[in-house]
Amino acid sequence: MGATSYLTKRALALFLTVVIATYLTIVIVNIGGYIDEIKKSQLYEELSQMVKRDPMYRRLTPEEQDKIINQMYELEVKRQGLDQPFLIKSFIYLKDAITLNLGRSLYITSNTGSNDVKLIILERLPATVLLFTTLTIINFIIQTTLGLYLSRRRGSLFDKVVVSLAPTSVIPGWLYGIVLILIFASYLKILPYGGMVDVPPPEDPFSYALSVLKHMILPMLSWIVAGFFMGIYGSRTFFLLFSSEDYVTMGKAKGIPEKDLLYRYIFRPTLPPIITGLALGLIGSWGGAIITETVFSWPGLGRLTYEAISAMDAPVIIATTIVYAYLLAATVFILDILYSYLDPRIRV
Amino acid sequence: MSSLNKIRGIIDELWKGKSPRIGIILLIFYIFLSVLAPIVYPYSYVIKYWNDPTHWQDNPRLAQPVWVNYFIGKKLPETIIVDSRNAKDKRAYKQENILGGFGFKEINIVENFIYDYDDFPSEITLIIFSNFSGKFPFVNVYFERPDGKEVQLISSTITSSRTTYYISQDPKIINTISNFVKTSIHTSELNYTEPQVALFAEAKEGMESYRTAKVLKGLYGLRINVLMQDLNGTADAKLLVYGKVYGLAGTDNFRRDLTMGLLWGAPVAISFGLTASLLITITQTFIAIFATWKGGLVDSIIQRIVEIYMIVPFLNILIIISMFYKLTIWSLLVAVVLLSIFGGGMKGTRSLIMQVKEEGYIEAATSYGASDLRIVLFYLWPRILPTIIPGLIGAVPGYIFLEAGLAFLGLGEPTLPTWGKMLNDAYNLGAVYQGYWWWILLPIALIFGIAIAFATIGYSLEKILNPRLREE
Repeated sequence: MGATSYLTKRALALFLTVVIATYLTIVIVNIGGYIDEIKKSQLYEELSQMVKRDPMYRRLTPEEQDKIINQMYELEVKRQGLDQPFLIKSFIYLKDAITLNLGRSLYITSNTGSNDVKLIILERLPATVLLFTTLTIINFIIQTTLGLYLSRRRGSLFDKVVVSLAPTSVIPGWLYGIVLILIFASYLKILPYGGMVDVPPPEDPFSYALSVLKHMILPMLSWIVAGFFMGIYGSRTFFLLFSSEDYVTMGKAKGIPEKDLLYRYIFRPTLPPIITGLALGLIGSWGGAIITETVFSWPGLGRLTYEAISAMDAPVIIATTIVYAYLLAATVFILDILYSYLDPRIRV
Repeated sequence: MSSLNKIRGIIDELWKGKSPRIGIILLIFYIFLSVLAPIVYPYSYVIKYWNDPTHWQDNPRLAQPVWVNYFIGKKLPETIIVDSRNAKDKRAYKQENILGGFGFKEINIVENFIYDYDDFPSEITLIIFSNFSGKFPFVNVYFERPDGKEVQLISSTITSSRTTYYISQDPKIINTISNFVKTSIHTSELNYTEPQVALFAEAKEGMESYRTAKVLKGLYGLRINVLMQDLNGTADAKLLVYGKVYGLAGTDNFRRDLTMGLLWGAPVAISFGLTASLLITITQTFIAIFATWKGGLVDSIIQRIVEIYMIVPFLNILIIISMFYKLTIWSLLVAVVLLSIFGGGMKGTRSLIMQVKEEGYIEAATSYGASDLRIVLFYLWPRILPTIIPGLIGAVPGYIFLEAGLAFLGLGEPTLPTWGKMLNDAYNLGAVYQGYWWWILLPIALIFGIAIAFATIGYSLEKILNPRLREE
């Protein structure tokens, strides 16, 4: 089986998973009939706007206009299948969701004032990707290098500290984040409380980037602290397992320099599982985004979800859920590609 | 008996290690808190009053915990309440005169209190209770200071049976106090006056502002004089000099005693986390054992379901559910359990069962014709149990944080106080920006502690019960 056909198969499987996950979301949300109400009220709103703007109907009295709107509404409800039983309707909703036809928000608008949910989400997505990808990569580098370092110095003081402090990592980053805000923003006043860029934003791109970087320190630090000890402990134990393999002992006996031993004998064969760890870390970080972005007022998808909760803006909440499902699936897929590249056994 | 000994052996071994010992001590502390909570504040009391702002009127707003005094070396004021309705309160005197010739009744109330704190009160409020018929009574209130100076704070008619004077907010009263400051320090220009500061400050320049004033310690008094036509009428007064410290944990923006919320957070967190972890681990393991044992189609269907569950954005769906259906903490528990039945934990159990399946005693059991249910319940389940217990304990913090996270987003339990909800309140009301540290750090410290307790015990159990993973 070639890599391409393997990847195609995986892509199909993942897409199917996204479809099922989205369907589940729709079923759960619609237990209370919420999507129906939202869809219908949006439809009515659109039609009445259309009728009121149309010069053809302008001469009519409001009562006559209402009558026409109601007629059109009835017809449209039938045409879109909204009067069907839920089973059929749910597939209509599913088609809309999967094709990212995300509808219009109730209250939240994009920066340009649009109600198009797709636009709102596209506006927020880069902020989330920027923060959490950087964060995951930095965390990954810290944890693997220190883990590799410790695996060669087992039993040292630092090693013991890491092992005994590993339980601190059960505490999620956003909780550390609140404490860090209290220390660095509220008490020391050296870092901003939250947000993504200074107000007003700096003019030239360089100071703009610098300002964004300054705002990224605390959210990143909070998750670095959260993952620190457990992450190092995990990768240390992992490298320890691999360095007790026979071929490593053999290499040592042959007198291969320590550096080569470390990179070619221990690090290279462990790459596939390490990459898995990285991707899982990325997926995990998406999960924490809602609360983390709320704590730091980071204008990403997570914060959008929170704003939508506060405003009871259901279409936006459902849309973010679907986008999350897509993001998760995309991450898993990229992982598969990397895996097939790194692990020769899959390429065969 | 033997299993009891086994448990004792495990506990002994846990006690030997340094970090699990910390975990056990912490856990005992939290169990103690959980037992204490319903004794100190009964459940019905908490349900009734936690969200009832009128219940907390006697507490200061945003007061720090009392023990702060030991750290800052300053005596911050506690709340002083003098109530003439309380016969036992010796600081209040009441005396009634009938001014017979005029057809009037005069009630004089004097309320004395000693103020010897190093900081100013946060607010002052006076409530006058009066029963009368006919014409409205007239009231005069005089504030007497240790240095002999006197301010007439109020001079007005009472129109209802309960009249509240917000001395630190009422513009008319503030104006009176401002005039008092002007005559005291012989100036005619004064931009603003902080009433609760000026009343308790030494009569020197700068007495109107918190930054420059110095506290005048000593015996203060409030003289309340009520004149009424109704000879059977009554009048009483309750003086509230709100402090800046309160109780073990301070108060929040709604004057609630945070001790109550912090204490009640413990049983709620433990029962939520432990029940969720227990139910989820047991159902997951059971399904995993059954599916793996059956193998074939059942196994591969369950495997696919687990993969789908990995893609489903768990937190988002939980948020949607909590938002649409306004979940209490217990219905949230049900939702969490249902959404986690096919969670990732099943993969580990599956690979373990694949090994166990090949062992001799299982083969023996199949050969004598044991049913599937018998093998799963009596042969596989006991074999898997020790391997899932550490994970069960270790997963508890995750569910506690899940609840706290949802509560932080404002989707928490509506009536009971939880740590996450306290954080949500604190965050929404800007505690971080204002530096109301106790309101944030105390719930966080308690969540940290309980997480560390379960996590360390979970890790150590893992090493004891699954010796293959033990550190050499």
